[in-house]
Amino acid sequence: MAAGNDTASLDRMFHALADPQRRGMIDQLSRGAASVKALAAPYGMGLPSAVKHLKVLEDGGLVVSEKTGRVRTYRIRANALDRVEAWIAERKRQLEGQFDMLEAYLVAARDKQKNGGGQ
Amino acid sequence: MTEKHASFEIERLFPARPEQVFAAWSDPAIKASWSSCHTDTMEVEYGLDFRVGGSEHNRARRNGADAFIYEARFLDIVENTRIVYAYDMRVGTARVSVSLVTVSLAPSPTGTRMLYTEQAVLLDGHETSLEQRRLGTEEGFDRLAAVVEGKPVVWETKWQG
Repeated sequence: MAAGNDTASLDRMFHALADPQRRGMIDQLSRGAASVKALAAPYGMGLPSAVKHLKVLEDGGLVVSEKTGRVRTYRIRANALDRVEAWIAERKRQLEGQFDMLEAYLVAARDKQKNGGGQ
Repeated sequence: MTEKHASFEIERLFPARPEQVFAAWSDPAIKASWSSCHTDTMEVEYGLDFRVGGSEHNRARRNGADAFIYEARFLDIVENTRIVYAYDMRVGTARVSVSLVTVSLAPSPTGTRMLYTEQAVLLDGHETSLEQRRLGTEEGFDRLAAVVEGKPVVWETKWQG
């Protein structure tokens, strides 16, 4: 992948993706390049906050930016997410979500037995 | 036509005995409660026949047409210890992936250590379909957030695997 395969860059990429607003920005950028202002607008986000999020995405190797005059424009970095890596990342997130549900169920079942089962 | 291979593991520790974790995989009602998808915009059909040679399916339809289909077949089951199954995932009429999954359970000092290993073949580039990517990305976090915050879980997921 473009960001490199070492653990640190993977960590930065996953960290970058681990936020709904940043994923929203990626989604928006997948439809075309956009300015900081345009990226901040859907979330009612202040520009400094949007810049911070975009910096995280840039450090994660997911987006690149260029400045034209006073306007900084962001775009998706080509081939940022290797297809297979992306599939694994999605699949893991999905499974982690399911296993969180499983854990919640197991904890609830244990507490129920503790409180009501007389065992 | 392309085939790409991928393999990954997820390890989780649960505060419950291996029998209880195993039951959560083998009892249809419990399994559905944490893994099946529920949605207002699609009809979802779920079934689990937990035995070697038995199958599990999760079929989501939108307007009478198959939208997402997950089908699995159990290949090896050792009570409270191991489950091996193969599954495929289809989006519309395209088969996106075929995987072999091994779930192994072992007692740990705090309950159970579960190791989930998936070996997949990704077919013909369908794995990158944008819709699937969006669904896969949002789903886990939404559920996780609900669990962490103690809120009722909103099942907007369109498919499961």
